[in-house]
Amino acid sequence: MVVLMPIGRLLIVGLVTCGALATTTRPGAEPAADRVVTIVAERFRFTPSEVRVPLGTTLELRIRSDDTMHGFRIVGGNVNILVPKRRQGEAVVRFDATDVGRYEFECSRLCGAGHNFMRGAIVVYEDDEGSGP
Amino acid sequence: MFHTKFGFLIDKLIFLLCLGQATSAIAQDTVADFRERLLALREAPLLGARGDSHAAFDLRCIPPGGVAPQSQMPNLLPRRTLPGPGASRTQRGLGATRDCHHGLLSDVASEDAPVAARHQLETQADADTAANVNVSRTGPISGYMDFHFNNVQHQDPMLDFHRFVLLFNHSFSDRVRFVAELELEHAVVSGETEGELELEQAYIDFLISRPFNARAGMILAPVGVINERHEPPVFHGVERPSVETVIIPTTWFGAGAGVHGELRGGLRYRAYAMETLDASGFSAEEGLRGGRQKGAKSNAKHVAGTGRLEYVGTPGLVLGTSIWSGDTGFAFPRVDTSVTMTEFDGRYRAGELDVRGLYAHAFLDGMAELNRAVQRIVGVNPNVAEQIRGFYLEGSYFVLPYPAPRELAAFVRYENFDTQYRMPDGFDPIPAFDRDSWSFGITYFPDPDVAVKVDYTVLRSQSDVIPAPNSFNIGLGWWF
Repeated sequence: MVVLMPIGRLLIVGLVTCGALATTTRPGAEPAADRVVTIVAERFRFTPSEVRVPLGTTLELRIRSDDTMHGFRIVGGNVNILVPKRRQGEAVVRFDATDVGRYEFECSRLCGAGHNFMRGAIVVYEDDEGSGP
Repeated sequence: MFHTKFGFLIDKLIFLLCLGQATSAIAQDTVADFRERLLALREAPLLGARGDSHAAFDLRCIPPGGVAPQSQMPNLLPRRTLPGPGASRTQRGLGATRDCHHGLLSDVASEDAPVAARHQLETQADADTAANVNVSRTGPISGYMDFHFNNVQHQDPMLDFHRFVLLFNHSFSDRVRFVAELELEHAVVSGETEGELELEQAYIDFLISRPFNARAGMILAPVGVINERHEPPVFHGVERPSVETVIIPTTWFGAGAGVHGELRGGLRYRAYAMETLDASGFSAEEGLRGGRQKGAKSNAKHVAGTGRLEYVGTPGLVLGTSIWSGDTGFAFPRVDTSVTMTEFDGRYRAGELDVRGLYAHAFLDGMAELNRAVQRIVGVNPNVAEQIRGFYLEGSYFVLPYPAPRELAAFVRYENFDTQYRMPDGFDPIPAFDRDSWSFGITYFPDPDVAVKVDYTVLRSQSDVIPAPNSFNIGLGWWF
């Protein structure tokens, strides 16, 4: 057991390093978003709480907080990140509008009595629908 | 970026080794199984329990068959975390708790990471969040505290741990969620103190769609600014505004049920049916405040209706109006009383400037009969008014608008409130309860969730006999 430990550490570090390199996304390497929207989170709302984009848009959401740390989660999706506290930066989410529909988002970090009110939606519409559904 | 990521992974590995599981895993598992475990370990801490659902919470740390059953047999050891298929799953969950202290899990790495690093988290959180949709999970404990030093004129100064509040939440699924707020006021609950232990909120939300959701349980009346948004760092002044204490009886809560949602155009609404007020608790000085039943075997002979409509569609601007209406007479036979309160409020933030205002007006019917009934039974006329009203205006400005610990705001607030605004025929108003005040002070934020408050309040009344005391207050409030 004792002999195996240093070997184990090296093996683990090697494997995990490979894994990290495979999954890390370098922000600088990403293509520019078609649209950038800034969302302000505060107890207990997102402003704007609804973002409409035509199908095929690459949307970049920049979310900042006006008070405590919030969460930003796309329900049923694959995004769930923390939004830093006031004046401590912003969270960035890229959303590829590949399918028409409503994608609801919410605060995923308990932020007070009205936490469940903090909800919003990204609406993806067909380009020929004008302003969308 | 790579170095940051690499550092996280090293930390995780060290933790794994400390658990004493890594070496045995290497020795016993196939390479594929081992890699699967490593991948799970690498992903798990990216979402901390302070953020959303930590792996340890999602898995609940309970493997199949691993829950200790109740044993009726003396001297028989219960089963605990049995080995088997669930064991490694449990360890994975526990192994994710790289930072575990005071019983609360948090991912220091993600909370402290620079903004650029956060950009990576979104792509790496996928597996965890996508897999956990509709998984029953308990969130971390949150809460807020309010510690005060009050020096009121003509009185001895006082230290008061005013509020100790814990919030609990649990998601049965993405659509069914529970939130509770348990509050201890004034530190000690006994027959000789003013302390209270209150269940201010305990409700289940049924999240059906964005415009239509249902809520039931112990709920907050959606009236005013502070009642639903009362964490200490979000308002200035050590004490809550007087208008939202004696005109709107904040914290106004009770048993009830209703609907809420957000409509198009930035409109949001709440509409609840909830327990009514007990008119026998109304008073000349504090208006409706003593009438709250607080969900404690509340008389349900009458049910009140309450609602709020607010506009939040413009950045920085909130406009709201609320109504509460209900019959309040059941303590005294043949005395029918009712209350209808309307309220308007607004808040606008532009840069470092924040301006807010509120007007509340309550109409109380049947107070003449109530005053007479109480006087007959108790021997004292409560002198409850048939109208009470109040308003306030507040402006604040971040004079040091820099990231904490260099964030400082100054504020000034004017309040005017009268709990004897209109009296029933045959009853005279008491001038001491027609009051106005100026409060000014500062709020220092060593962290956006921690507020050190200092203020001075000049209180005036229309009475020439009873002086209205000024007060100097220092407060420390925090949210976590």
